[in-house]
Amino acid sequence: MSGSVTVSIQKDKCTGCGLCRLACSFDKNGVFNPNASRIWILDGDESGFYPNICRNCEEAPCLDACPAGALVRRREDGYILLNSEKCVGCNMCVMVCPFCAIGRMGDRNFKCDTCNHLEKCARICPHGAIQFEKPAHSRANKRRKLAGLLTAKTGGKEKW
Amino acid sequence: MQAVKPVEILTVDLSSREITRDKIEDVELIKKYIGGRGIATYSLLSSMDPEVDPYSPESPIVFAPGVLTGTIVPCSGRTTVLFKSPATGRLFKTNVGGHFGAQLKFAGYDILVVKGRAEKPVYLYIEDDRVEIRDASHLWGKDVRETNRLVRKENDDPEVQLACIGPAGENKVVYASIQVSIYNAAGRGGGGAVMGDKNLKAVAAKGTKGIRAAHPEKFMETVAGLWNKMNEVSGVKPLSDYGTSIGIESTNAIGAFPVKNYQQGNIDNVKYLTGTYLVEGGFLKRKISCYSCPVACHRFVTVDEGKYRGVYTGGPEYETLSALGGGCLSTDTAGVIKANELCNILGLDTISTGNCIQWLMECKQRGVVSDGDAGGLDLTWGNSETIIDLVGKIAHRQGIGDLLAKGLKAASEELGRDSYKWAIQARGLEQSRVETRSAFGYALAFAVNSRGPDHLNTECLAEFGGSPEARALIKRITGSEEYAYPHTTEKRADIVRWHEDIYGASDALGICAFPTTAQFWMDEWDLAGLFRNFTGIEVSHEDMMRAGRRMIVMERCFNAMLGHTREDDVLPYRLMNEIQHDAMHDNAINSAELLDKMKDEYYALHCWDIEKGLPTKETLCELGMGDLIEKITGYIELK
Repeated sequence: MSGSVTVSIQKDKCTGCGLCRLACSFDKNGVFNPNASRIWILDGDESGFYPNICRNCEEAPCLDACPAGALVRRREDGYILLNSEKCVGCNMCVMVCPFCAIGRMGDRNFKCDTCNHLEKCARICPHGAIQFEKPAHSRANKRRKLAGLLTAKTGGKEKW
Repeated sequence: MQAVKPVEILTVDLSSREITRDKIEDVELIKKYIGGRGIATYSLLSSMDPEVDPYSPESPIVFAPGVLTGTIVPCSGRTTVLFKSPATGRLFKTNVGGHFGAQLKFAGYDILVVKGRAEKPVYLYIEDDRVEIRDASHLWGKDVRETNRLVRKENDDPEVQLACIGPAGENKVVYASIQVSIYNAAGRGGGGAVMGDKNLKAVAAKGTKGIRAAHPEKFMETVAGLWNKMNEVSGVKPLSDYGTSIGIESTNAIGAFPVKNYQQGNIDNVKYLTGTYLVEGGFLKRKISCYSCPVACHRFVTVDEGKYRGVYTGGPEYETLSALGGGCLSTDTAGVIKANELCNILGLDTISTGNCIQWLMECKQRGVVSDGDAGGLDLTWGNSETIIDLVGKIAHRQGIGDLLAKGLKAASEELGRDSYKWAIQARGLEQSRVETRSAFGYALAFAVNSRGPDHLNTECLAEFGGSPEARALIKRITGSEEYAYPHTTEKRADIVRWHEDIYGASDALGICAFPTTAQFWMDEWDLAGLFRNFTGIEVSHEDMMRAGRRMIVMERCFNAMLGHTREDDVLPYRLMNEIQHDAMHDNAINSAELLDKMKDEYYALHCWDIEKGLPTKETLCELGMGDLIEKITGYIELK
């Protein structure tokens, strides 16, 4: 599934405003409620904020763990979806997800579905901390940034 | 009229441990006072005996997030905190960002009232319908950062948001702050001391309920319109990139940056106090947002080298860099950051703390206090170590810190020897860091402010005409751009009243004052649109402004019941009696005559009794507040 879309988080850009979570819950439930959001923000005081969301793993443990067949890959882009109609709320996916990116409300589990390619969280993020892209793209972008850092004139001062 | 979402009020009595829930469902009342600050002020004015001692169990403290707090509206994360101030003895409105208010809203509460006094230290834990008064003996004495860590740990929930006090609040320093989300402060007026008196270490809130708009689609359209406006104005990006201290260099250049306790209007090497330097000097590690804020003007800084290595804190803001830096004649960036960290974790208002330290330094300059009186501290201007030492001594009321902890009014009265002349306070509040002798709109706003001389009831930055948007606003208020000039008394009353109105409306909605009064991308039409589509209650832009005005009138009435009249609408002694010699214009002074002229115009514009500076019965009736006349006239006569 190397061609599938996944999320790329730039931790240093997150300011912890929570707009992504409100955009998500509004899209999914028509309500402003971070608790219903498919994206979380980990707040570490000294260490900063970290927006946490499904990574769309290539070898996804949630897919294997679901006994109800509620988790499947979307045909066109390989993104993993959770069908709440089929979900039996057993929490197996939550237990095996290495990133704690599956939530629960009432008796059902839920996860990100990229808002059907609209990616509301990424669109609202004012600082570009969240981007959905193909992994190959995010690797290329990182390499470019690294190359920039390595070759930049630093005036004798360490840049990192 | 359709049923509207009621205003949910949670009242906790710490003495009787009684917890009550009330609702306001009267649409006319909601339309009149909007919510948040408006309804909280109304309920205090109509139900509270204004004469109670701020340190008595009967004196409540109210936390009121805005109507829109917790929604996706940009910059809507703010919370009003109301109490009777131990510093001023008056009703005090303070307003804070952070994430606490949003969690209170998600828990289902619009207003939280805390009354009484607990026998032992407690903290209040609110999670949806679960409201508990819990033991806080283990938290008493702990700093703000540690308190947050412990409460989050014992609830096994990193998302719990706190409004808490540090040791300064426990020790009832009269300018102790309430720290929200660790580094945001409801700083002014001593709310922290009121919490300390109640033995209330913290309020912890966590909510899982959602907030729904009455007309979701229209609401989102209004929000989208605001994003477009935000992206078009000139002031947002610099504020986001460099924080509130972006303005220090230009303020210094025009001689309006209060330095050396307002003895000078500028400082050499100001560069080290600017937002640009926080970035270039490597102090800024990231920007921090209040809830739902796309701008993120708040800073998170660390000091990585030198003797303050290892220091980390939110801030420093414009006010802090001025109060603990320039005002003390210091440009030691790392030193200011260290002092700021201490204020944040000990729970002190940086403005009042800085003003008190400056006053003490000037006391030494004038030979009134010696280093020996200060326990051997070197009180020379600009000494960073002394500033930092004093912050700790104030919070713990040690040595000379005990005198400063009483606030400038009491401290200068106690010390005597003319020291009131350089105590930059009026009505018990230390003035915020604005040189009003160069800006007469600010001078009027500070003089008539119910809080005391500061900018957080009326930020009339527009009078400087510093951006095209500011000049356009002044034209809209006064009819001409030529009034976008701060060295005149002309039209200041109009400018101040407009700002008071919109400030009240913004506070009640939970909207930050920057979009409405500094970057100018939200106006009264936007506020009305948001309120209308969120609540389903029909209001016009004029209704919003009138609601804001009612808040000003209610605060004035509350204080009038305690004897406040126009004689109290003054500024600190120095600003009224000493000319600022290095100002950009001649005769830079806020003389009594100058203030009187503007005050007359201001009261007249409000249709108040000019002689006393108080609303009349007719004004109250005209604003639909006739129901309050009986209560008020039980204390004072109204014309």
